[in-house]
Formats: sequence, C-alpha cells, structure tokens
Amino acid sequence: MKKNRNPNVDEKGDFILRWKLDIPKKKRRSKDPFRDFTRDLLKELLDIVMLTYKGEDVKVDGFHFLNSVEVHGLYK
Amino acid sequence: MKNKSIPSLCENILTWLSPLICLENKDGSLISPKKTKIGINRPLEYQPDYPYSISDPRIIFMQKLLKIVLRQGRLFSRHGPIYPFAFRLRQLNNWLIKTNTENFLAQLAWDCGVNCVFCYQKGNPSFMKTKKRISKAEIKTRLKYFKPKRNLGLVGPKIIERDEVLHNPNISDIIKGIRKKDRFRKIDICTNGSSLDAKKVKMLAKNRPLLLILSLNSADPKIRKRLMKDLHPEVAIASLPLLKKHRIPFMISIVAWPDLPFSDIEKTIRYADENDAYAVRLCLPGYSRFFSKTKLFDAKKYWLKTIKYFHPLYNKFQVPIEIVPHIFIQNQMYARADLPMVIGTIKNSPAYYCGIRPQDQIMEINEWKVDSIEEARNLLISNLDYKPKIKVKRKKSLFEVRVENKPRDRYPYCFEELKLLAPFGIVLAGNEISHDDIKDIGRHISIHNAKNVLVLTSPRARPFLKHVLKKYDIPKMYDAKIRLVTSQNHFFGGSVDSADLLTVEDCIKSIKQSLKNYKPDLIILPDTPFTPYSDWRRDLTGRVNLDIEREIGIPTEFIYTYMATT
Repeated sequence: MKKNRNPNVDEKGDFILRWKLDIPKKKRRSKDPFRDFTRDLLKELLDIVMLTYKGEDVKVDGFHFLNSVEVHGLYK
Repeated sequence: MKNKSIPSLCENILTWLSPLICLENKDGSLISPKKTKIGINRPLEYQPDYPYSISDPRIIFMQKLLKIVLRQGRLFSRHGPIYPFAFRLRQLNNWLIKTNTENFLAQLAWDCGVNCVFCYQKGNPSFMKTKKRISKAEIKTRLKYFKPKRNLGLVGPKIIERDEVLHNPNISDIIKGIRKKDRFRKIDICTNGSSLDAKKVKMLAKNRPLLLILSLNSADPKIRKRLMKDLHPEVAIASLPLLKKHRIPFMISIVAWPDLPFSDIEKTIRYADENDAYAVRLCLPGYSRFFSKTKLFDAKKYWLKTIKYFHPLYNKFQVPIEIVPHIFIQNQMYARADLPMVIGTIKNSPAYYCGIRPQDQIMEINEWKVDSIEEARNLLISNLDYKPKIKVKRKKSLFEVRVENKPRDRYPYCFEELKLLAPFGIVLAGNEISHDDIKDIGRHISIHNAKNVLVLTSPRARPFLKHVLKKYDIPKMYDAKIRLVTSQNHFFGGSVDSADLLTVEDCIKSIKQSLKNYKPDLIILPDTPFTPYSDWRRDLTGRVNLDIEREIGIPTEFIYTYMATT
C-alpha cells in the first residue's frame, strides 16, 4: 500500500465524491418508533418517486400496516 | 413485535444500498471487513448537501435513509461498534446525469476576483453559499466522466454561485480536454473579462467554436473599477478588440444599476458596437431581501425610466440591444407580450444585409401569417437551409425581403449555433411564451373534469395568459371558470418579481391567500420555478413541487411553459 496517498482519490485514481452523515446524537422519543420510521422512510421516498397503478400516477397521503386498518397520515 | 423488526429492516436497507455506496469512517477509510487504511495528510473533501438536493436528490435520499437507519440502532463489526461518519459513491459511471458544457464549466469556476456592487450572489440566502475551490483531482475526474456528445457528466451541483471559470489556473487543460471529446460543439463561457488578456484570448481562439458573454458593465476604466472593484479594468476593456481580431463571437452584458449613468451605458454600447459584439444585453436591476433589508430603489419606476431611454436607441446602434427581462419591455412597449418584433439584426447576417431593422414586425414568412414570437422563430429555424420570403411591417408600410444563409457567413454571424439563437441574424425576444403550452390548461381541466380552476401566474405573464385564454376561448370550450391568481416572491422579497425565483412556500402562500372565499377543484401552476434548476421538480430551496398539493389538499397540475418567465 502506498503511503501518503491522496485520501480524496480512490484506488482507480478517481476523485471521491463523499458526503457527511451528521447523525443527530439525540434520539427522537416516540411512542411508536416503527410507525415513525416507516413514515420517515415513505416521505423521503415519495419525494423522489411517483407511485403508479396501471400506468397512472397515484398520489398518496398516508399508509396503514397490513395487520391493521388504522391510517397514519404522511404530511399532517 | 414492531420494534423487533427494525434491525432486520435496517440491515436490509444497508444491503440494498451496498451496490451503490459504501460507508466511511471519519478519516475516510471504508467500513468493510477488508478495510484499508489510507493517509490523512490532506484534509478530506466533502460535497455540500444543498446543491445536490436539487441536482440529484437520490444522493440526499440515501443520506437521509442512512440517518434514519443509524438513528435507530448501532452498527457492529467483528471488532466492535462502528460509527460511520460519511459515505461515498461507488462506480462513478453509474452517477452520470444530464450536464451541458456551460453547466460543466460552471462547476469548475474559480474566485471571480472582482466585487460588483450589484452582485446577485450577495442577495442569496446563506444556505446557498456553498463556494469551494475545486481541486485538481476533482477537475481531472469530472473531465474524465464528462461526455459532451451525450450531454452527460458526473453528478454535480446545478445551482452554483457562478464565479469565473477563466480564473481557474487549469483553464487551458479544461478547454482542451472538452475539445478532445467534442471537436465541433460550441462552448459558452460567461466571464467578467478581468483575466481576458491576449494570451488567454489566443488560447480560446485555438479552441473555437466558442461564444463569450462578457460582463463589461462599463467601458470607462474608472467607472468599471468603482462598480466592479476591478483592480485592472483595462484588461477587460481591451479584450473586445482582441476578441474581434481572433473572431470569437461575444455578447456584452451591462447591469443598469442606478449608480451607472445612462450616458455611460450608451458609451459602452457604442464601444461594443465598434468592436462587433453580436449583441448587448442590458439587465434591469433588482435585489432580494438578503441583499438589502431596506428599499434601495423603486424597481418598477427605474425599469420604466430605463426602457424609455434605451428603447428608442435600438435604431441608433447596429448592435442589437436586448433589454431583459424581455417580457417586461414587450408588455410595456407593444400591444402584446409575444408580438414578433425584431430587437435587432446581427452584423454581417443575411437579415442585416437585406435591411431588416429593429422594431420591424414580422408579419409573414413564406406567406404564412405569423402571430407570435414562437411562430416566427420556429418558421425561421425550419427554413434555415432555404431562402424564405419575409413580410415585414415598419411603422405603416409593408415590404418583403428574401434572406439566405451563405456557406461562409462573416464574423460575428459565423457559426451554426448562433444561427439557431438568431436565425438569419434576426434577434427576437428570448423568453417566448408558447401558445400550445397554455392550451394545455384545457387538457388538465378535461382530465379532472374541473369546473373551478385556479391558475397561478407571475404578474408579468398575467396579461399574456389572459390574452391566450381568451384567444382560444378555453373557459367556454371546457365549460370551466378560470381565476388567475398572481404569485408573490415572499422568499426572496426585495424587488424580486419573477416566477423563476418562486419557491414552493411562495406558491402555497399565494394560493392560500386566494382561498378565503373561493374553493377551486383544480389548481394549475407553471413549472418555471422548478425546471430551470432541477430535473427532479425541486425549487431553489430543494423542496419538491408535490408539496403544494400535499399542503393545499386540492388536485394540482403543472404546465410546461415559458409563460411565467422573467
């Protein structure tokens, strides 16, 4: 392994495109962490994809778990 | 039961992401069983989040996904807990996005070396200030992955505080590198000219075709020095004859800042005219609330004063004078914003030789009646290889001319791309408004079977939108009531009055204000605040336009139009 190699360049010689993660130290308190986790995940996903059904756009504003009918809003 | 499933889902997400990215420690080393240690003599370079949230939010999505996962639990390896600090992209070949040469060059810009009193960057909010000097290694890699023939480049910022690419010490290698990949494509360069000496102009001349937009502002060294804090104003001023000598077509731009006397602007236009600039762009001034908390000047009044002074000068100079925003001057000076009025003709072009002059109105092309700028431009472009007959109205008289491009046209009308920008050398207002796109409102009304439709428009586009809706009788044809609501630029504030600079929040506020005694069943917006910066429907703050419908709760559609351009 070469010493003093430029840490901004990978083994192929390409510049490394990197981003910090900055994970907040404080954990968010939640009564239902899995629901919040799913909501966060879906919200982020729906900002980069549009769901479709038979080729038509489907806009969603909530979700429910398959073992329950309780709907959890995404945006309000 | 619910909590137990989080770790396995997190593990799955990390597995899904692993072909795309790898996690890093704080020192940049990879988190993997076969991790390799690398030196840390140089500081690690990180990409800023903000511009990527607009140009490629997939990256920010993965970042947020990782944060969500890592907030829920801790990662472990055989050696104990792991604390990922950053992540990097794998296989850069998979991260190529639409990039043109202009955007590519802007990513490689350097400090501008001047400090203009009107600099728009001073009017940007702090989160947009993500300036960094790009390293040689990054330049090399970006150049390696840049594919100008396919308009692809390595994922990078599209919103950039554009500085000065000609100040990059590697500019010669960069331009040569682009030329190696595409010998014939035009390269657009925006510059303040402060480093445009004979050596640099010669280097550029070797890499034609190039088109320069030179931010000159004043041809008087004292005034340029005061206005731009340029320590060597003579360099930029002396570059005009050099560009002419080396046959590099250029446009000069002037910001009509209230400090700048009209007499000086006129002198600068004359200087550009003498040196065969292909056009002069006169930018009407503005400022945001981040630029100045107090009112600096009455923009509307000053804009009117400026166009009243310069519009009559169109015929005084040969060089076409484009006053921007075009739609403002078209609204003020003509019966309609999209009347096909000639701004000017490029010197030595077919239109110049056949006598078309500024303020002529194009009436017919090859006996086809022409009613808008869009029609005129499309017909001229489709006839570039022929010899079209153009009927022109000048004051009250009508006459016909024939125009024809020659195999070797003379400088400055001398390369193919300029022929598309100004077909046959005829300069028309740039931000034309497409009738077809506005007619698209009808399609949305029909799909939603809507009866009450709210259409958001910028103040400047409103008169034209009203005209087109009436012309094609859209409310009657689709049996719907259409209410035009004017948008306001709350976010940028100051004198900003442009749809391009609207944010999602601005749209929501403007719509909500009109909903007090009114309930539409469909909302239609222009997509102009979102498309110039992003293929991902983001506004300038990085927010997705789908949030408007999510917040308002009424079906919302976007029309792909120029209707609300500045």
